[in-house]
Amino acid sequence: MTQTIPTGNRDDEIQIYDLHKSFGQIEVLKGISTIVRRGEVVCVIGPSGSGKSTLLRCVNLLEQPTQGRIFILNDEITDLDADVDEIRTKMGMVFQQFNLFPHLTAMQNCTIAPIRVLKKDKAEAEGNAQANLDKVGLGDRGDAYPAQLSGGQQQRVAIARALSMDPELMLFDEPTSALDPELVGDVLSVMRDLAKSGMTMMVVTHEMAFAREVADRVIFMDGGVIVEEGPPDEVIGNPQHERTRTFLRRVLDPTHVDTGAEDEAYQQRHAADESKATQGVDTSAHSPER
Amino acid sequence: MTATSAPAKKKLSPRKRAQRMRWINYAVLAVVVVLLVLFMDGRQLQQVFFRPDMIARTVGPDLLNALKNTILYTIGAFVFGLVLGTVLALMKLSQIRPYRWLATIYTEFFRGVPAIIVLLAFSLLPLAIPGLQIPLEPFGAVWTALGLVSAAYMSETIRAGVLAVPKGQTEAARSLGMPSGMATQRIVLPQAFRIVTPPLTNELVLLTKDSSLIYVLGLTAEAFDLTKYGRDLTNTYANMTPLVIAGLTYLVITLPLTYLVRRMEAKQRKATR
Repeated sequence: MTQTIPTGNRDDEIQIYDLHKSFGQIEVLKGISTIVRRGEVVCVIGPSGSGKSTLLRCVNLLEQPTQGRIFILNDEITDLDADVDEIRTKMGMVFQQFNLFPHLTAMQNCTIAPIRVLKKDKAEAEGNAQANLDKVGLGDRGDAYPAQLSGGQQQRVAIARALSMDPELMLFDEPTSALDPELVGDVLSVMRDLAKSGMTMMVVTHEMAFAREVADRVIFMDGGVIVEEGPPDEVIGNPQHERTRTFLRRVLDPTHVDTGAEDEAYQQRHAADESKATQGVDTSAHSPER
Repeated sequence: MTATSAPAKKKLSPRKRAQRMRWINYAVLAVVVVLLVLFMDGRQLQQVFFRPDMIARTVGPDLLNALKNTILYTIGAFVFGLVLGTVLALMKLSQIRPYRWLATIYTEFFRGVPAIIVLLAFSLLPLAIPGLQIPLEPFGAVWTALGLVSAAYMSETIRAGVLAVPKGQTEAARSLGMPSGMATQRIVLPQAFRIVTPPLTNELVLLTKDSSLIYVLGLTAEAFDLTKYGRDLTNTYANMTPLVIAGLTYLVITLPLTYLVRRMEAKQRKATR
C-alpha cells in the first residue's frame, strides 16, 4: 500500500509518503502515507493525541516532518529547495482557534494576503473578498473587527480569508471544536457547500455526522498511524478494527459506559461490579470513578 | 495550650483592632499637620520657593522655549530608542544566536550604566574621533545618547509584547503564504505595539524626566531645557523659585501622559476580558 515514488498523477493534490514526526523523544506520527485526489473530501478522525492535527499541520509545513515526503500539486513541499510560501498560497488553512487578525476588519483579513502576497490590486482583492464573505453569509459584516463577531462568525470569516487566496485545496484543523454547540451548524453548512462546489478538502474533525455525510473518504488514526481508511459508510458505519469501534462508541454515545474493550482487566472488574450490583450490594465505594 | 497564662487584658476582636488602628493613623496625621503649620514660617517659605517677582521673571517666552526644547529632546530620543529598541527586540527573538548575544550584551550594558555617563561620553565623542560631526547640535548628541539608553529598556518591553501575540497569528499569516518578515511586520508587530503602548508611554514619561540630565552639557541659552533653564535662573538670583516653576512645568507633560496610560490600560483590561 505504501508507495515510495510520487505518482505524478495530475489529479493528486496531496501526496504523503512515510511521514514521521517526533517532538523530542515522542514520536507523534509513525509513518503516514496517503493521497488526496482533486475534489476529494477526506475527513481525518481519531482520539485526541492520535496525531491527526500534527498530520494536517505537516501538510503545509507548519510542523517540520522528521522524515518522509509530502507533495502538494506535485510540488514537493518537504524539498529544501521548495518555495514553501508559494506552495502555501495554493492551500487554505482553517484553524481551531480561528486565528483571525484582530487588528484588521473582516474585509482586511480577507484582502491582506491577496494584496501583499499575490500582488492583486486593492479593488480586485476587495471584490473577491466580498464574494467570499457573501458565500459564508457575512457579506454585510466586512467592516466588523473580529472581536465584534461571534465565534461562529469568526470561523466563517476565517474560511472566507482562506478562500480569498483562490486556493486549490483547503485544510481544516478541528474547525468547530472551539465553538459553542449552537454555532457549529453554520460553519458546517459553509463547509458542506464548499465540498459540494468541488473543493478538495482535508478535514480533521470530531463531527461524525458531518464526516459521514460529506466525506468521500474517512481516515481513522490512532497512536500515530492510520488504522483504517475508506468510505464513511465502511469506516464509521461498519468499522473493521476494534480500536475504531471503541473510538466510535465513545464519540457517538458519550453517555455510554465505556468498557474499554482493549483493557480487559478493567472490563472484568466492571463486570464483577455489575454482578454485585445486581445482587443488591452497594459497590459504589469500590467501582472506579468515571 | 495557653490555659495556664491568664489573659492580662481583654483581647480585642480583629475588626475592633483594625478600627482602632485606623483612628490612630488619623490622629498621627492630624498631629503632623498641626505641627507643620505651627512651626513653618510661611513667609520665609514663600520667599525661597514662590517669590512673586521671581515667578514673573521665570514665566515667559523663555520658559516656553525651554518646555519646547524638553519636548524636542524627549521625542527625538524616544523615536530613536523605539526604532533601535524594536531592532534589538527582534534580534533577541531571532533564530540566529549571535544576534541574540549582541542584543543581550547591549541591553545589559546600557541598562547598567548611568545615563548621565553615556550622555557625557557621547558629547565628547568628537574629541575621540576627529572630524566626526554630530548633526543638529546639540539635539543630535542628546537624541542619540538618551535614545541608546532607552532602547535597552524598550527592547525588553517590545520583546515581551511580541511574545504576547499568540503563535496562531504567525501560523495563520504563514499559512496564507506570507514570508516570515512580512508576517512579523504586518501581523505580529502591529499587535505587539498595541499591547506595549501603555508601558512604552510610561517609558516616555521617564524619558521626559531623564532629558533633564543634559544639564551636564555645555548648552547655549536657546537650547536650554526646563531644568537647565530653572537652574540657571536659580543660580543667578540665589532663589529656588525658578527651579520650582520648572519642576511644575514637567507636570504639564507627564500628568496627561500618565492619565492616558491609565485609560489605555483600563481599555485593554476590558478588551481582554
